[in-house]
Amino acid sequence: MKKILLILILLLTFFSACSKKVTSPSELTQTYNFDSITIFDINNGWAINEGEGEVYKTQDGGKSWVDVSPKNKSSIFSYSWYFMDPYTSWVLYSDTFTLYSTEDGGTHWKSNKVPFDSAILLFTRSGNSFIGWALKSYGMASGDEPVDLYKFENDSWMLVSKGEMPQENRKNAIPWTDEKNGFVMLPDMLTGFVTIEYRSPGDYGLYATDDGGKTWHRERLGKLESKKDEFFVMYAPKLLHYGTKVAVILPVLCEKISSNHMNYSIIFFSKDAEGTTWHEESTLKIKERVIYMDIEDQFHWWVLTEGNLYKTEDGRKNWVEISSIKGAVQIQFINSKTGFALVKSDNKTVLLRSDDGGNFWKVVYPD
Amino acid sequence: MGNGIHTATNVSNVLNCLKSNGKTFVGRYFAVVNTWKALTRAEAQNISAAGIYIVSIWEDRDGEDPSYFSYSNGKSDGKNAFNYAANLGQLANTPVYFAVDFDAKLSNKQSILDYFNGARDGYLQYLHDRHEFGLPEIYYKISVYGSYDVLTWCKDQGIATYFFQAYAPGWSSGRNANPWAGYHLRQVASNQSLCSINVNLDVSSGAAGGWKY
Repeated sequence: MKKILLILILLLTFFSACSKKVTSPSELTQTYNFDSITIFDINNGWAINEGEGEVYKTQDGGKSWVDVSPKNKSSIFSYSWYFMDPYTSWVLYSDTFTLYSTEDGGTHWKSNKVPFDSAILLFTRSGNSFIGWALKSYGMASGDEPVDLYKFENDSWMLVSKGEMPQENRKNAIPWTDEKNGFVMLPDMLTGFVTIEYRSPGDYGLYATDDGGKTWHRERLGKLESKKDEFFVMYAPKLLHYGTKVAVILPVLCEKISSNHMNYSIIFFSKDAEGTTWHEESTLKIKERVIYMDIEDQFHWWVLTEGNLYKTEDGRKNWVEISSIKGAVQIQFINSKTGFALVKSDNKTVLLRSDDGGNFWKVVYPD
Repeated sequence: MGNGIHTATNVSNVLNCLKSNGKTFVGRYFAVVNTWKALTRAEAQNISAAGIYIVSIWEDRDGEDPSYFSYSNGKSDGKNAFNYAANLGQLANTPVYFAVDFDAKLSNKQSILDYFNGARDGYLQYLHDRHEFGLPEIYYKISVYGSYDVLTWCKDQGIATYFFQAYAPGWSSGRNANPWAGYHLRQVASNQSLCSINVNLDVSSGAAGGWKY
């Protein structure tokens, strides 16, 4: 009997070993898929997967990431999140109109119901609390997008200005037509800009406020006025700090269609906080579609195209083609030398790092 | 070749003007969240009574946001869009055009195709639900509004039946400036003022799936 039992145990052990799944090393490694990264310094950064509603954090320069998403997550729309520093961030979950915020790097999240499910979010610190802005989107209709502006102050959201809706003729409001693809408020909390992309040739939208978003007026970019047969892509304005001064840099992509090819030029306009007119700071002429731009400081700017990476480091006078990063969808430099590139292919994510200003890149994630 | 428009504005008050301007179809939106642009039954009845065809476009939320395009959002949109069509009484075997409203790049291709796979499963869910509730199964066609490259990808995938080319000549690295071979509808201008409303101008190559009561 004991013999039979021993044989049975041996047989069971044998078959159990045969049917056991052998786990390969790659299956043991948890890899995440990112839509966007925000890196603050050599160690700390955030990443987001908007479709899955997931938020990640790194503390070792991107080598490893931890999922710090709030619970009950759903999808997040583009720009409906704001990462202020390695500890402080806001994420808007669209299905539930819920804005989550953390001040301890994602260990604890606070949730608040908000009157929007999709918005470009901005926050700034004000003493021990925060002031926030939300350019609420009503969704698109073949390129048209009504918006409202909300402000967060004293722990509550208030409607600052109602945007125009179809069949309305609302004065001093942001128009409902065309796509709103950039929004910025200056530290004075009074001056702000909304950029609007038109799909008709020779037209563009740049709206400004100087009363904290209550009223809006259209501004003109002289250089574009003569380009009647070109199409303009308006990017989000970027704030550039020069000591105590702040300048707004506005990149505009000009597309000219020839018979067999496209010609692109990016014009960087600038305006200081007290300025009344926009001037052309720099122009880069290229042959490929633009994917991303990064303005690190007064001198170091990068432009990522479908195929190449361009850089200027002499105050925007000269641009040079420095490398090519296949599949890159975003670049972000944290100083004049160190930068990160997010590469995506077949929904897989690779994070690259450069320590020589973008000439040479090495993989940091997945390890 | 027919001429028409699509617009986010209710056209009930301008139908005679649209007709006198030679417009034979009007594209209107289906939406369940952002309903400011949505077609209602009353408006559909007005359009039909004027003898104008309706073209159904689904664009509810962030159709310009590349990250919106996922299998799960496609499934939810597919189910909602065809329920909307059936509740409105849209004619069977006509299309709903799902909008991909941005200059999609190669890195966006897979998620857009995932979205349309989701839309197909959402459509099957819609049919299943109607069957479960003893309602007649009304069949519709999954169709696409988008750039030159998006139409090509969707055609190769084989899910979309009708194709509506968006206007933005610089999209698809300039390919979108040319008519996409096989289009059913093609947008030829955006943000035009016609009959005191803001419209996008379209042409059809023939039968583009318009419907009326």
